[in-house]
Amino acid sequence: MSSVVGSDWEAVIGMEVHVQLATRSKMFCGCATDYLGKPPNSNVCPVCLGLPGTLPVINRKAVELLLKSALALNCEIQEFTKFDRKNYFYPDLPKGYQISQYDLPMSRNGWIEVAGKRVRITRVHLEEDTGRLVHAGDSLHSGGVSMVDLNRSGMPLMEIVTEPDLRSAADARDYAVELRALLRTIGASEAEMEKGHLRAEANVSLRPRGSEQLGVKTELKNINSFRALFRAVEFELKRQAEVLESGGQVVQETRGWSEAEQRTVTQRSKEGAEDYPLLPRAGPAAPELRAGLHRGASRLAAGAAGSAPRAPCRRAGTVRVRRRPDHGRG
Amino acid sequence: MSGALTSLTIAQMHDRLTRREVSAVELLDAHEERIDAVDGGIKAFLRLTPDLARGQAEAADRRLAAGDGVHALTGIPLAIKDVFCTQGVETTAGSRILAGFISPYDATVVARLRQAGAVFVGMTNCDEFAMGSSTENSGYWPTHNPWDPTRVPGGSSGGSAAAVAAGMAAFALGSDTGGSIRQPAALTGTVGFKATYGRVSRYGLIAFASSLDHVGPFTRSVDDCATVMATIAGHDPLDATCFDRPLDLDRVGAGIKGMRLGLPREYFEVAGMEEGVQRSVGDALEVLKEAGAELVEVSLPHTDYGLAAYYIVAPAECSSNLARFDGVKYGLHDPGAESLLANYLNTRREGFGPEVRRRLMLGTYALSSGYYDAYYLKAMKVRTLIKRDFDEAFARCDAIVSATSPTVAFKIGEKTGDPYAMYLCDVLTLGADLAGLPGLSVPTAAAGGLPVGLQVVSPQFREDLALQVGRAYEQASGITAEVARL
Ligand SMILES: [Zn+2]
Repeated sequence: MSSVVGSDWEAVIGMEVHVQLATRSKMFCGCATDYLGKPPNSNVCPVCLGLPGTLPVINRKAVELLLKSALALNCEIQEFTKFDRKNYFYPDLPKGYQISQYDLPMSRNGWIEVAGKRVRITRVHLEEDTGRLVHAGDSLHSGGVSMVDLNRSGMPLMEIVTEPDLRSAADARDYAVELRALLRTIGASEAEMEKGHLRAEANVSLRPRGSEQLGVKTELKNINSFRALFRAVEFELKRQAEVLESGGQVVQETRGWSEAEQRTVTQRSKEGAEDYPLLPRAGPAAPELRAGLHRGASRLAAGAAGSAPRAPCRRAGTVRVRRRPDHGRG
Repeated sequence: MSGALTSLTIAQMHDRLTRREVSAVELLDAHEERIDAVDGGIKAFLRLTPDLARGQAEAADRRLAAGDGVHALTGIPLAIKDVFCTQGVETTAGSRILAGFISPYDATVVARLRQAGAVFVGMTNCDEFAMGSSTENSGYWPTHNPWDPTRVPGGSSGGSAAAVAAGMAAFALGSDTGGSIRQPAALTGTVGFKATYGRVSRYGLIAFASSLDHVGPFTRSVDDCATVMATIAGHDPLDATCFDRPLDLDRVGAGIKGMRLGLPREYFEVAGMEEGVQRSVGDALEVLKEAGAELVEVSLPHTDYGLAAYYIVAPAECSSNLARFDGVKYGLHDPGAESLLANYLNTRREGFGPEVRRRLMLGTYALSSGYYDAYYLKAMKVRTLIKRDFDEAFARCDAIVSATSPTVAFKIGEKTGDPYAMYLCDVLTLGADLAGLPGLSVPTAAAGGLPVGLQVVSPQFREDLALQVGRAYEQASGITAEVARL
């Protein structure tokens, strides 16, 4: 099937999957989540526009869905969790930071069975999505402009990260298929890859068979279907094997899958990103998000444990979330 | 006539309004006349909102005529610090970077005051993004102290303090992150108060340092302060740190007989304490004793580290909070920038003043990888120790009293060249912000013709105790917040 299979090289693949959660409102405000097809910047409010003075309020339903997912993935629910700020400048990021989770994600250390093998889950955490840039005109010349659409800004995302336990392109695809089935079963997400509900990124590297050390990896993006995932990983494994066999070295980089060319290509960093050498850095944890998580009434984890279809709950934490005013609709 | 009207307390104005001795429109007219007469020299307001005010005053008069739904603040002229988003009004946080930003929404406190029927006279000057202690860091102009226009009104809420002290508004909104309400209240002879962290919603307050920002009023009496607090305090579903607990102010007038007041040794030995301030506060303590309070010495041993911790935590938080001002969505923008980076750099270089840029750099450094643990985390640990200091002190007393500011109002320009001297202005106030505790400043006897403030800090959730002490002092001393003759 693959030039790599049976060769001297072993594939080492880990996955990072962003899942758009099936909530009715955004992660930290009351805007609807069905923004597709709406005119640009029509599905927004002061909070997801990042206007001065606004504050985030956690969507309880998003936390519930994350906990359900984490339990279904056999994860440990953490007793203390918090949100952090990932600070960087980019026009699709209205606050100048993304609210995400760094050192204390909601859950860790799970596993999922894929084709009879266990794939370890490193962590499952919550974050918010960015807006989108729409490039118009000729970006190579001065006439080109980029327009910002913030309809997607603040959409609830769950990030699921695996250990590098996958060994082939088929493994990677099977994992994603299995994950989608699980998320649909518990109602956490519609998980349509083509609609961007499930965005898979694969970290791919090769090492000499028998070696315990990890090789240099590339990160594959822009994968919009299971087939694309399989082909992108397959292509990348071949490419890396050729590089290594010709005595070269794999460059650590992000590569995008080109559907048209059926190959991975070095991804130009974000439009103009090379222009600003400002690295993401951790911002202080937002106090309103600590308070939102740890005060309040319901014991969501316990509730989620009761309703999860599979998943023995090893340690139900006491993540508490207060109800938002605008979240009657969840 | 107009002079008399602009010197009244909220309670007195309310009384006259409900007895129909004066209309809300007349009250507004009197304040607008006063502003015309004196604000050219004081410069408390960044912008006036005459059309909005007139509409609100007329609506208040209709409400008063109908006698229906009249609130204690209906028809009362209010000045709003430029950090509170006010719907339909340019709101800039005293910064050039937000010039032209007309807020499409009301901060929760602004919405509550709008609903109560207060009349919004205008937006007041402040240090840019509330960073400063003299209002000299405003991106527009400095504000002058109504008691001596060659001196500062304190800061960062200096415009709000000056507006109340000069009779240009009956009350004003301020924000207090390191002392930005209490210090200007002391320097202008007004009553300034900030409650427990989370008592008043921060939604719509343009953030400086999220874990330190507090909202509160300037008034001319402690009773007025309680009236405003009762209106603006309380749970807000839009601010998850805003707690749901009743604010009980019934006993504010109960006197202080038998109350134990703690005098923190460190607050009385602070460097740079002026003799005039010491004398005025010493006299105030005698008054409190005569009114029946027992004075006990307490200790806040980590006071010395407070300033250092504050100047790590506040800049760190502001460096993240101010990232959104990038010239892409609102405010200042460089249309000629040839790249995205140039747009960011030009906008932020042009838009932010030197003090904001200094704090952004300090904060960015303190949060950068490799330094986060050494600076930010360590400062947060110091903060925990400072909270513990207060807890231990409150085991021995009901409230803590001291001077609010070690000095009276200083000359304009006196400290602008020395940021550290400016930072020392907050040495007695920032502890209550780090610990999230209620803090009040009430005027005591003037020193050399300049106002002095007594600070009262009370335990978490016990706003009533601070106000009770302030009210008792006001009664026993006969010293009340006066309007400066100008
Ligand atoms: Zn929104």
